[in-house]
Amino acid sequence: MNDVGPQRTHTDTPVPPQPILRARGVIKTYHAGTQEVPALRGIDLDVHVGELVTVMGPSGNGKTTLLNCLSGLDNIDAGTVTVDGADLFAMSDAKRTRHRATRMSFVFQAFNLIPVLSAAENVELPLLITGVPHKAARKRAHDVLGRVGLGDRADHRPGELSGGEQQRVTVARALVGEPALIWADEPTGALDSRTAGDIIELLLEVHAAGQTLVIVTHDEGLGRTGQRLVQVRDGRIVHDGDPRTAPAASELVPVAAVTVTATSAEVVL
Amino acid sequence: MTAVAVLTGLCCLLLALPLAVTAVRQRALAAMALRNVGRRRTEAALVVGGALLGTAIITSAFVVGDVIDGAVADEARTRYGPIDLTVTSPDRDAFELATAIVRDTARDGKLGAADRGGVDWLLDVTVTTATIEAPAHDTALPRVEVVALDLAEARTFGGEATDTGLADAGDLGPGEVLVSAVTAARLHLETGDRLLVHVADTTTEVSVAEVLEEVGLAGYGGVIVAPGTLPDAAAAAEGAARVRHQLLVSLAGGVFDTREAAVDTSETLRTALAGLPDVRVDAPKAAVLDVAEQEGAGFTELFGTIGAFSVMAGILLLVNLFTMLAEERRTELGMLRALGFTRRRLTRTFALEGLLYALPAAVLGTGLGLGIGWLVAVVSGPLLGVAADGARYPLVVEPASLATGAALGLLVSLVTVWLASTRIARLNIVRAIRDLPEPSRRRQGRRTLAVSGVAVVGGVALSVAGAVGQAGAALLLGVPIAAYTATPWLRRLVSGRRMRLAVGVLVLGWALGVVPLFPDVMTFDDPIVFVLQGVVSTAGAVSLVGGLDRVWAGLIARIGRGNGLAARLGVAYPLARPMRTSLLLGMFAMVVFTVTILSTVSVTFDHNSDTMATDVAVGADVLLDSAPGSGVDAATLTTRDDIAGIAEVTRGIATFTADHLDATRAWTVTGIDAALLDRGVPAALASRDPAYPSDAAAYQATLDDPTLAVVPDGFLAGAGATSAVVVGSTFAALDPATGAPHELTVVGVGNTDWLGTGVLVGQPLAAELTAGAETGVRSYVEVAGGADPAAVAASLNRTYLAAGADATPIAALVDEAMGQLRGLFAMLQGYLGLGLLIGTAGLGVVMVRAVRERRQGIAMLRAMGASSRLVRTAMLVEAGLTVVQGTVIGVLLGLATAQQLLGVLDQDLTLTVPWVGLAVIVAVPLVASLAATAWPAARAAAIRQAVALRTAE
Repeated sequence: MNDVGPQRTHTDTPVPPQPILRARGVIKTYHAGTQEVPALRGIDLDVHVGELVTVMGPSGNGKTTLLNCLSGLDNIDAGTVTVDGADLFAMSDAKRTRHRATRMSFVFQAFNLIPVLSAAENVELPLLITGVPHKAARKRAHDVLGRVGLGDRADHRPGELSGGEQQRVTVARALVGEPALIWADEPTGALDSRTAGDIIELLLEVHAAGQTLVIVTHDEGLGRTGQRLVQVRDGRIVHDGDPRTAPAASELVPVAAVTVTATSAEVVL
Repeated sequence: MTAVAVLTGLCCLLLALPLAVTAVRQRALAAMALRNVGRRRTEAALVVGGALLGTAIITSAFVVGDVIDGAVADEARTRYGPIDLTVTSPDRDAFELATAIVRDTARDGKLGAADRGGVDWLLDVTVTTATIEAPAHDTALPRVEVVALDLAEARTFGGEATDTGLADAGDLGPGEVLVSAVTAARLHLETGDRLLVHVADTTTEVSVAEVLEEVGLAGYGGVIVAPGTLPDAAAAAEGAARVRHQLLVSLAGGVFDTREAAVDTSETLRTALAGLPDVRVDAPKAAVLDVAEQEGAGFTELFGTIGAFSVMAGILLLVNLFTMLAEERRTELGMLRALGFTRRRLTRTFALEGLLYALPAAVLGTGLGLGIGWLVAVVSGPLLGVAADGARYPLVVEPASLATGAALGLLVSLVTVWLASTRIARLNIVRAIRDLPEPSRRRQGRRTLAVSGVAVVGGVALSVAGAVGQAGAALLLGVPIAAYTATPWLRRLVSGRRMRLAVGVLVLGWALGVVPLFPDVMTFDDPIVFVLQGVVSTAGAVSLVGGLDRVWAGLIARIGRGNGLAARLGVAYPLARPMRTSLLLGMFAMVVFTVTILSTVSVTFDHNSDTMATDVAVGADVLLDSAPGSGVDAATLTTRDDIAGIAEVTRGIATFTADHLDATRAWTVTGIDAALLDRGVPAALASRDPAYPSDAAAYQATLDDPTLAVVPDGFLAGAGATSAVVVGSTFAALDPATGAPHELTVVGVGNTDWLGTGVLVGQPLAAELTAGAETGVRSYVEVAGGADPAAVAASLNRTYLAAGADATPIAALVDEAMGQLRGLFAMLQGYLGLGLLIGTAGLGVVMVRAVRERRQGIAMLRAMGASSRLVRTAMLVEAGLTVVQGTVIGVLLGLATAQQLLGVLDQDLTLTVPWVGLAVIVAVPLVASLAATAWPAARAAAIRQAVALRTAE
């Protein structure tokens, strides 16, 4: 499990001046009928190559919205987001989708594996989407599954794997395309503490291999293991820096917690 | 019919009552079911739409029968009105004696009192067969019945002037005639037109005083004249024995309610007139009403059989929809169980929701079926000529038909709903709540194995019993029952895939092999065997295809563009959900199977029309029908240069009865003689008594033995219905004078009766059976070498116009009959289009639900960079592949079954593959299904990934 990272060259040189992700003045507001619920209120954030950034904050304060908007999964109302030098929201949806396919990948709490595909078939999907021939994609998928410790489970479908194994498959799927940036949204949220520990270890190994990671989490342990902790409250970044100097979670009681659902937004005081 | 409706209604009540009680006693459950329906209104509408089509198809089959029955029965009003009985004789003296006896018998009250179905009115008429020519329009019509009657007396006949059709007709002046609307239309006549009436060697000129709508006496003949209007013609007719003196009898009662009384009275009169030669008693209106009932039943059977495939497609759709609905709600249902819902309560909760779909589907489906049935009857009735020319097709529907259609449709839905709900309620609570897949159960419990073992033995025994007892349905079903019920045992030995493969191969092999293996049992005489053949072969093929999942995946991987991601994703779900996929495949395959058979049989008949014409031509080229004694005889015709040979037969209408008939039935009978058989057989036989080594030997036996007959396919059956008369069957022809039965045994059954020869018996017997009725001479004319049959026929018609000659090339007659058949096949294919509509709607609903079910998966694909186009294409590939697979299965099975069916119908037929038709059969469902999938595919492509990834809907 020592060589789980992608094959990109990693150096120990200081953080380069050009960030892999740059967000400026990002604003996102949800609309529920006539009511407007601001989710992001002017986010500025830079993420550099090789960084492990953890994003924390109370529930409903905009962490996941930040991930969705900065990765281009969701639209923003104002501001700019550049990934690998390209302005995400200056592109068409199709171009943004292609850009995302080659530069970013994701790990979600709910795994989001395709249930009717085997582990190997799930892992090879990002490669097939970017046009890699099937044989090459399958070989690479098997390699990466081997690196996350699932070499012998490649032909099993998600329903035949445990939660921890499924999350390993999602990590493998995130790694297989050698993305510039991996976004992880509560990657340990659906796992028991022991399995969560294994996944954290895996993600740290991935980062140690040079992979840039942005992890949204509730998990204090995971949040403070990164190089850099971003704390979000009420749609704003209230801390961005050394995890050791960050305020404790209990000090981040929200002024207004925003819960966003598929069709509505409500303010919970 | 009423009994079926009541029985089905009771079953529905038994199934719905517990749900209604649950709804009343536990309002929360009812509210939950209502809200679940209301939550997705569009989909609920689609589910109701899919379910109502099944009811519509069932109802329409009954409605077709009723409307055809009504249309044929309407002939009782248009051609007979108050006429219930006829006493006929060609001999004036015999007729007058008979009339006196009838009057005396009626006066004595032996025929019943006038107010209790007794004889009400009597009317003397004279019927002469003539050729009518309209010089102004250059048209002529042979064999028109000219009825001479006293108009004043006729108007009062039956007591209700409007029923006679003559109430408004003015008195006739010298040389004036009344013409029925149908005759006028054929000759393009208008009031005032000059007509030439040819009878034997005489020609009389008359003018049209009025064209009358065909009602009662006004429709009884083509032309009505006052007695004495055609003195020369009458004299000539008497001389040529082409006149029939008739006493028309009207019984007390309305036009349609004297059926039973007419039959009884005709028997009494036959007894009273038994001593008189050449006098026959008929009950023509009762016969029409009997025919109407049989034709109606025949159409119900035909459309019911064909519609059964669409109904089954509807059942598969319902099962599929409820299975998907249950899977979608699995977590919710698991939670209800965890909260304390018993399995029974869960079943009822789910079934209650099903009832909310089934009830409106039954009501709306019945209404739709009413419209479809009427439309089908209006189009197909004239195509087959089941009712008289110009007959109306009134929307006459028995309430019992609608009740039966609605009840059967509802029953199908309720049974499906209950079975699906019961299966759903057996979920494992923990696995359901955690949305974990059900483990594949390799080992079965002892009870399951025991039941399976008994079922296997039962299935095999059923087939053996079917083979021994000559029961096609049992023979066909036994082996598949054994194969499918053996799966719990097979599961212990081999993997699921291999098991499906093995069962599929066995069932499909059996379905295709049973006909050649047991040709004597699998005769397709019973339409249910045809339906079961379709079901069994489709089930086998679908199982086989399901077992070949790896092959499909490999194939798709090879033919997919680039790395074939869209194709891979397109097949991933169908392969991973074999049950669901099988239901969809079965749905399309079964309907396409039937459409393919119809298309293939139609095209094959078309391509073999020359052979068919040759088979029935006896070496002749032209068929010439004329009246006896008209002068158009073999001696005269053979003197012509354009005729090389000729053979004559006599033809007429006789009355028959058989064990399977409730009433007598009139059918054409043709008398053959040695001269005809010297030229060849009148029709190749599809089956014959094995005692005879050849068709010719069977015909010779018929000629030699007056107790034997050869009958055409469909003898004594309604149009489209299967005949109960086979080789070895016995039936009886009634003596026209005494009504005494003359028993006949079938030694051969022919194919389709293209030329309308009907029952073939020896000439002397035919003359006996048609005595007193209008008979005709049919000449098989062989044209001289090089002569054009059409030109010879036209020349014969011109030359013998006055003699009532009607000559037509045999090829043209067969072609015309074939056209009717083509029309019927096209109609049936259109009817089956409803089944494809079910399939298409079903696929649309399934894909809509699939989008919901896979929401997060699709969102993840999009998050990984899959374009919306890729997502859309994958969905379309999935739908397209399903339809193509189902369609191809249906086409291949349809071709194989058509080959077997044609072999049974006529071994000389060469199967013709309808390539263009098949292309349409494959393309139409594909295009329709892609169109139906376009909307859900677009929805899938437009899923907002940020939302879908985080939340369930």
